[in-house]
Amino acid sequence: MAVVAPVASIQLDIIAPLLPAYVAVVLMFDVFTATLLISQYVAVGAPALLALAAAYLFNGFTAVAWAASFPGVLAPEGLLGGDLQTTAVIAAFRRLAFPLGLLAYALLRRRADAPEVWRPWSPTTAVATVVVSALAALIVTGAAGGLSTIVPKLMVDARVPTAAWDFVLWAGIAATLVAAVAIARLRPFCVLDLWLLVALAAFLVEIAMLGFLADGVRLSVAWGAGRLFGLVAVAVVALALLVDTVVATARSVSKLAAEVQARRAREASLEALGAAIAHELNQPLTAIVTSAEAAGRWLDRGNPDLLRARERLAAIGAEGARAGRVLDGLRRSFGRGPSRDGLVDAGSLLASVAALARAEAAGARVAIDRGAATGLRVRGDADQLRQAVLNLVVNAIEAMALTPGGRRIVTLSARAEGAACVLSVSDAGPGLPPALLDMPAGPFQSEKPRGMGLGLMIARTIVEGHGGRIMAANRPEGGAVFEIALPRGNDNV
Amino acid sequence: MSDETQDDEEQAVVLVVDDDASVRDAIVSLLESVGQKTVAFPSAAAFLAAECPDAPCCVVLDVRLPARSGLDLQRDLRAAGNQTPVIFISGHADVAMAVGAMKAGAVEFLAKPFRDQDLLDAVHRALDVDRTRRCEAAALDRWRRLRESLSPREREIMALVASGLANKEVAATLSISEITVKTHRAQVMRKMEARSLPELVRIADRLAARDEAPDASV
Repeated sequence: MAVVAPVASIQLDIIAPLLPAYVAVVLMFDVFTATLLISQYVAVGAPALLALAAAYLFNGFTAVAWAASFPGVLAPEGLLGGDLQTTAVIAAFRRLAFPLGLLAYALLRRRADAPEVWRPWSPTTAVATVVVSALAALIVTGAAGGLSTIVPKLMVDARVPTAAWDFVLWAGIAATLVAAVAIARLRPFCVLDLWLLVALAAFLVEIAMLGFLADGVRLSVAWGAGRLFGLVAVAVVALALLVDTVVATARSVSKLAAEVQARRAREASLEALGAAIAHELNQPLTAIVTSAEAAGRWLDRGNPDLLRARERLAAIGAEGARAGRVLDGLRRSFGRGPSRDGLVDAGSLLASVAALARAEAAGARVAIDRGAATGLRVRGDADQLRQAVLNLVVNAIEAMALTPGGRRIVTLSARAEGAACVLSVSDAGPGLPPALLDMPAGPFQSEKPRGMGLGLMIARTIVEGHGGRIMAANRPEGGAVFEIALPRGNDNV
Repeated sequence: MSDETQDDEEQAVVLVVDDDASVRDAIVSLLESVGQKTVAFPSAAAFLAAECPDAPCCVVLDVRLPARSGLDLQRDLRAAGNQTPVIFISGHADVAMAVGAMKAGAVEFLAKPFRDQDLLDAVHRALDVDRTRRCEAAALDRWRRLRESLSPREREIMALVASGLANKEVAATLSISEITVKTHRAQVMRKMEARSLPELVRIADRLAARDEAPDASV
């Protein structure tokens, strides 16, 4: 500003011919930014990003209209058939729309809870954002001519504005400051927010240079320099988004890979453990089966050998005891024993399950929705209960493999029911076959190649170990719901 | 041959190799309950250290053994020219492992726990295989000993006759008279205890096949 100040109001003839190029660059950056924002929306599903995209698109589209109607740029009186005031009305809308769009972003961000959970994006909303931005730009352009006859005159002549322009100026400054404060107070404050603040700062400098230094007079040195800050305002977020996207992609790829690897390692060690247990139990089992058959054959002989048969029966008893010891040893080596009288907050339990299932859900394009915190607490071992709920969530995700994209939602919730706290996991899959509904006593039959049966079985063992119950039902609106009823602890209210 | 089978039926031995004493005892008891003579070993090393019985036998072999596995032991036996039939028993019925064992010549691959009848059937089959093998080996040994008694000229003539040449052609090949060939041939048949020319040809063929695979000792 200091550099520009001495020569601020000098008129430069070179600025007008540069305007179309300037607008082209602005439009390019705006469309670029909006594209990145919409693709982030597709990835993250946060509607707040669409408000930003709309602000940038509107800014870009109206820049074209603004330059086209600018007197002396494309035509002596401007295109679009407007009069002297048309360009100024469009400029006034642009001054206000950009900060208001960013303000809308900040307000939407505040409303959205649980940003760590993936939500499905809606193609309709994304397309509507583009269409509405374009329509708004068209309407403003079309109505500008008409509006200029109603509102006070903004321009004295083609270059000098009236006092009414000051009102636009201050309104723009106020909107920018309000948006900046709203964004600065966002929590969590992300990198995008930081760059939005930088963009708003540049936008403020642009307004200040155009309004005060150039006194609103068009095509002066200060006016041209202010335009450059406007360019910074649109470019900074585009470049920041680009860097952020590349970095985030690289990070999430390596993080997902790590999660998948950790999961595989756990599965592999479980498999090895299973094989070891199977072998340890198979030996006594083989001895028992073969001994029983041998005993039968000793007795069936023409001359029954009671001694040998007795010896086999003793071996059967001993082997049964050995199998028991194997199981006992297993229980002892895994059983530091859950501390089942701990207090577990139901809300944080569901939150940690949602976080653990994130990679799986994102891979299957499933949204995890969990209700607001209830303050309910259950008695039990946090690790075990997390595992039980996680198993149900993983089943729910897998059950929705054939469900259409927009409806793939796993809903987690907690509610009080007398002395019990009920955790529920519902999906929008095909529902359960009747055989599964009454939760039969034996191992669950699974139609899937791996898993459903075992996961449910483990969940039930854990829940029943906590003195709770698992119930399964089909929802009237489609899909299945599993409910875990656990004894309530002292609620955390 | 059926006479021989009856004779050594009582002496046939099943060799059980399993590191788990309880499983080993149970299998031994099962086999003994049907009157089968059985010897048990806790490891591959103990099995190899033992004298191989001079009777029809088969091995009931656990796949999972400490140190050398059952599959290794099977490979060792084959490499040493020991053709004793093997029945595998395994705690983890791994398909690939079973296929490998069967390809290497196992009689049967049973998953633990197995049905008693399945094991007894397999043992029966394995002992039959071993009996046949032993008879053939014994016959070959005898023929080999008989061949030792032939003179070099007689051996030459036996080889030519076995290759399908007529007396006249043999005489031409060796530049001797047909009468001499006839005399030698009669001598060969007498010494080799062959009752007919086709039998002599068959014996010569078997001996030739045996000579080509010298490691297949009994």
